[in-house]
Amino acid sequence: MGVRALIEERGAAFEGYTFGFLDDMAKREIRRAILKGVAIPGHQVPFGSREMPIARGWGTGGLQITLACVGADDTIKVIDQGDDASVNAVNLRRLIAKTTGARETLTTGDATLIQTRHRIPEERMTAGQMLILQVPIPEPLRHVERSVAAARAMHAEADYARMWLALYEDVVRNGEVTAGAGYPVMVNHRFVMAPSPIPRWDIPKLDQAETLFLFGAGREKRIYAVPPYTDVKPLEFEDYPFSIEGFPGMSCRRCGATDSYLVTSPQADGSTLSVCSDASYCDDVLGGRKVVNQW
Amino acid sequence: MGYSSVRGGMDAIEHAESLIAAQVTDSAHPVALPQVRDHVALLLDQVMGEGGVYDVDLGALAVKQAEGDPIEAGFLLRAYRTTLPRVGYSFPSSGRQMRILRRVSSAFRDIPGGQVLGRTRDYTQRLLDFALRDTPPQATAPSADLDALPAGAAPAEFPLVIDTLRTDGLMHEAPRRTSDEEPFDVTREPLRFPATRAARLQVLARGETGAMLSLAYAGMRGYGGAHGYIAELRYGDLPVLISHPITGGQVRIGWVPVTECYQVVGGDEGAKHEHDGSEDHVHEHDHSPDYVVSYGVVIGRNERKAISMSILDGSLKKATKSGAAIEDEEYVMYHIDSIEAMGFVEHLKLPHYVDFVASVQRTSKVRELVAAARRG
Amino acid sequence: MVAPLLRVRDLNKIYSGKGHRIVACEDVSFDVYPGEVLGIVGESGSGKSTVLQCLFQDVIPTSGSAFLTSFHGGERNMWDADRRERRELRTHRMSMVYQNPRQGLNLMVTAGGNVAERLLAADWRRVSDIRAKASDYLVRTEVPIERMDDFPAFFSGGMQQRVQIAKALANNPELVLLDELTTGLDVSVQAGVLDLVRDIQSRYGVTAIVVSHDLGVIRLLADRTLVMKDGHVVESGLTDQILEDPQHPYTQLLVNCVTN
Repeated sequence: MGVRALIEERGAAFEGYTFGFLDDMAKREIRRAILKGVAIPGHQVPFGSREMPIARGWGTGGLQITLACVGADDTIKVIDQGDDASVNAVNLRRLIAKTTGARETLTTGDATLIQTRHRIPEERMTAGQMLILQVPIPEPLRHVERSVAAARAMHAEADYARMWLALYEDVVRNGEVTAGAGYPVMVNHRFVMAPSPIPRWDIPKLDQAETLFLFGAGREKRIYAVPPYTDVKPLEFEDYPFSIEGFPGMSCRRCGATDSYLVTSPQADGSTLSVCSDASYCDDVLGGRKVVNQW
Repeated sequence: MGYSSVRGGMDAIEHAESLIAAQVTDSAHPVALPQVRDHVALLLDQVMGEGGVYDVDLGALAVKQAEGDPIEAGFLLRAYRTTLPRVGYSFPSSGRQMRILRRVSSAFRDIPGGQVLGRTRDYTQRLLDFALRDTPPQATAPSADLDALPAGAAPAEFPLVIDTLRTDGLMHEAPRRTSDEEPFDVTREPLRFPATRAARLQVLARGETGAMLSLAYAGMRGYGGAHGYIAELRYGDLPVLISHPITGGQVRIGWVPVTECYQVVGGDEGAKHEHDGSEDHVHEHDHSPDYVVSYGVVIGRNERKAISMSILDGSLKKATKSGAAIEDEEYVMYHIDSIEAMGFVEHLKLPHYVDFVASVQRTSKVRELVAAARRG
Repeated sequence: MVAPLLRVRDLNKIYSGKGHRIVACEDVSFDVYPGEVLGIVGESGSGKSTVLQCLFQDVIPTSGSAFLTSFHGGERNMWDADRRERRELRTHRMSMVYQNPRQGLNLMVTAGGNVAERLLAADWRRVSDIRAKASDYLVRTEVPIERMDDFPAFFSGGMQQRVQIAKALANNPELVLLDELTTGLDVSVQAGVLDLVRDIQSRYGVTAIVVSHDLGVIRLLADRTLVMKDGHVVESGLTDQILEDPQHPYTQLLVNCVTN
């Protein structure tokens, strides 16, 4: 369906807004930043992040990428911590739908565009899909160099000794690299990148994936990308290899899955309630549908 | 989960929205926008300044809709502003063109044009006025414009006090722009450091009053501030001049009320200043100035922020830094924007279930390692 | 004849501002040969530390050239290096021991971590190897190995200086620069640190430039010496010769002060 027809059909929803909320110059600039990001995997591209009708820190970076990319033929899915029903995900999705008329879905496999916060879906995404990650702090070097200008120079020179030193100190003090969510990765053997606070569980999915990953940090005004079939490796020492979370002996209380990332809540009776963080995957297992979850 | 729980999330959001709407509108004494405009004017000014839009009606709407939360109201304005097309750019207005309503100097007793105390609470006694409790039986038409100066008292242009210092050779000549390109726009371009002067002043002008006040105060208490004197603090209307689309001549399309603060910093402190620091200015003289100016400008009446801004401008301009945070461009410029800060701080309300599981697993692992090490 | 490791020609560093001009050093030229220790002696303000800062590129010279054999085959002026080359020079080819350990060490990082940083920059990626190598350097500089994982902020001045030397030796730089390394230390500690440096130098054949105002330090460590005054080299030669037969009146004054 063409944009014109869409606007006519869903005219009321568009009242007072342009298609996709952002003006065309903004969309063009964001797309240019995305292209540059794809051309230089892992490099943070500054962009003129617009003020959105959503608070900074609540997904404005991801939202701007989504709105700059979404077309009338797209099917969108928005998840927060893996969950489509999280109120912020609901709110973002209704804004995208309201200003673009794009179809909405809760099913990973049906979406052409998925905007997410802190998770990569369990189901393997394919070449026709795009995953847009909301990013709070795009700078992986922030805790070793708080000056934005200095950190930029370190990336330019691939000067990551202080990053490695922080990992070394972590191992010396704690016996492990303690980074939980948002484990730093090396992209295309060139740039150290913050994968956004996804759990370690999701880190290996970034490596040599079929799908395009776009990262948007609205408040910090940066866009970056991991194109398909790109090497993405967690920073690790040979003798302290990276490892993902494990859920031994646990399963989803709802669907029974033992092969998904679980979120846990202590219960009044002293037991622990664990359920899949990925709602779509949970529904699939429950409905007996087979989906590929090997990335 | 699936559709029903999503519907549940949607229901919860819609319910929250109706609760807010009710709070704003359901009352025996609903607030009308003119009341905000006429009686909550200082809050309105703050909101327009931090929202970066001068529009009294929109500002009043934002204040009403936000139940008087200044950061939320500024946020509403900014989110609206960003959708507006840029029709054009005005010519720069000089403070010399200001239609003055108030003007004080703490550096000189007698200034050319004279001091005008104007409307200020500075010398009032802060006693609750219980007479205001009673709503007047009926509205009164505003008495004659109290701000207006006695006829004939005001010359067409007020000189700037700092002009006097320049005439006396105590200060550099005003910097001249080498070119008149479009100004850097912090709402359309990402900041780069070192920032241009235009970018720095824009960020300061849109900064949040409270955040700037506390940083400036810390500076004055010894954390990196430069001690200056207020050569001039003024409030009034600045003309908005644009190029006539047909004739190309300058035409005035309106006035914007602003508060301006010129601080002069001299002696050792002044000598430590790097003059201006920006790239797009040239100076006619290269002699060492004794005073430099630190500048603040804010939409509407907000002297607290104008003075704070001039203090921060001064600390950022220092050539020799003491290492205090308020001399650090990145520190000041990133952290005074409370609309951005509010979003990030309050995003902690969002679920972090996934990250927390990841964190707990790491912590447990380290605890195991420590326990194993203890056992030997 | 062995080719010099480093050739410095006509180094000038002039600080100029509005209405003033300070010459920190002027037309300084010298060579450093592999395995030797070159001393630079002079009073404070003589420009000797400026020479070192320029070599380590903490300070950018006004003019001059410096050629390091291993840097573009000794063909490219070190001071024309771009940012990346400059960092490479500072992390792989040279190292600096500062008078103030705070400048050379990150006090928020463990002693071992400080040494490890230069190894990590050289792509060492096995913690056990890094720790073995770092402890090796710390042993060489007589830092008790049980303090490897402590923070140098809590170390004595002498111990901090030993950690700094260990860090400077890490990754085997071609040239080590030592700036007034004992000046901030108690007299009793000074001798120990000097013995250590001399011992390391003789055992591992490190090439170094030692800057000091103290002719005693120079006598102990330097094979050859430059004497600087007011930004100029006033005399140079073998250290023994300079001490026994000083030619320039200023050198004579210096030597007399020590011997008397």
